[in-house]
Amino acid sequence: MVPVSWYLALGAVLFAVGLVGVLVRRNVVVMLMSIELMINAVNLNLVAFSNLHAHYTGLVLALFVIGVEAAELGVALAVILAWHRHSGRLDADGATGLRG
Amino acid sequence: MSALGVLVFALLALVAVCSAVVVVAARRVVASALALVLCFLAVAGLFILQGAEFLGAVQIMLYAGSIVVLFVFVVMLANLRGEEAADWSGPRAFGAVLLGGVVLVQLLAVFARARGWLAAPSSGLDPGEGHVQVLGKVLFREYLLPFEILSVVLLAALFGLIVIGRRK
Repeated sequence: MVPVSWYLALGAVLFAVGLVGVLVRRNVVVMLMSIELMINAVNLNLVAFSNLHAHYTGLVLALFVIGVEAAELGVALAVILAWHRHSGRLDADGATGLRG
Repeated sequence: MSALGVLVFALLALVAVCSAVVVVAARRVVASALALVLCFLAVAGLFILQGAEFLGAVQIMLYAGSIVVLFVFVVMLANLRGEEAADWSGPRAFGAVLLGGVVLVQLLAVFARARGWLAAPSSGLDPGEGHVQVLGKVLFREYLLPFEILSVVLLAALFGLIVIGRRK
């Protein structure tokens, strides 16, 4: 068995990479992909803790995360496509239409 | 710990981290999407390595299969063929990398402090009657209500994206 702390460290690295991606990239599609990376890191940690405690709650939580994320991603990509049709751009700096 | 397990872990972790960096740093969005597939597959392998086979299968089917297909669809529909370079020299990139580094160091520090607690002997997920059976029992007994709520959430998301995606 690989120690649980290794999985946690790997999850931390993936989370940090995703965080940098969300903050640096301006393309909304790539930002969404970076968010996926972060959620994956969280899932990895959930499974690692589930393994540590020999308890299935972490796995069930990871399953729920995957389900909710599928819903979130569908709506987010639909919004991105609608916005792209409307304004013709895909960079987050252009999304100022709701600014007061 | 077995040497083979450590080797597999190191390989999968290397693939996951490298492809995650490619997702963030690639100039072409399609390259990001393909690197994302690789990262999801590596994480699925790590799930399986931890004894969570069902979650690994779900990860491969849902993430590496459908979610990346969705991404590629959007890339094609939005005609994102050109290269789009991220600005890696400005103050925003500096701040982002700084923040990412701080978050990483903090998380690692927390894990280092909790080392004794994390090193507690674990029996692992190894039930006698099979992994998926136990998971199904836990899911449909203790977590039945959240499960049903999740299906309503998915239905609402379905309606929402039909309404949003409809041409005016």
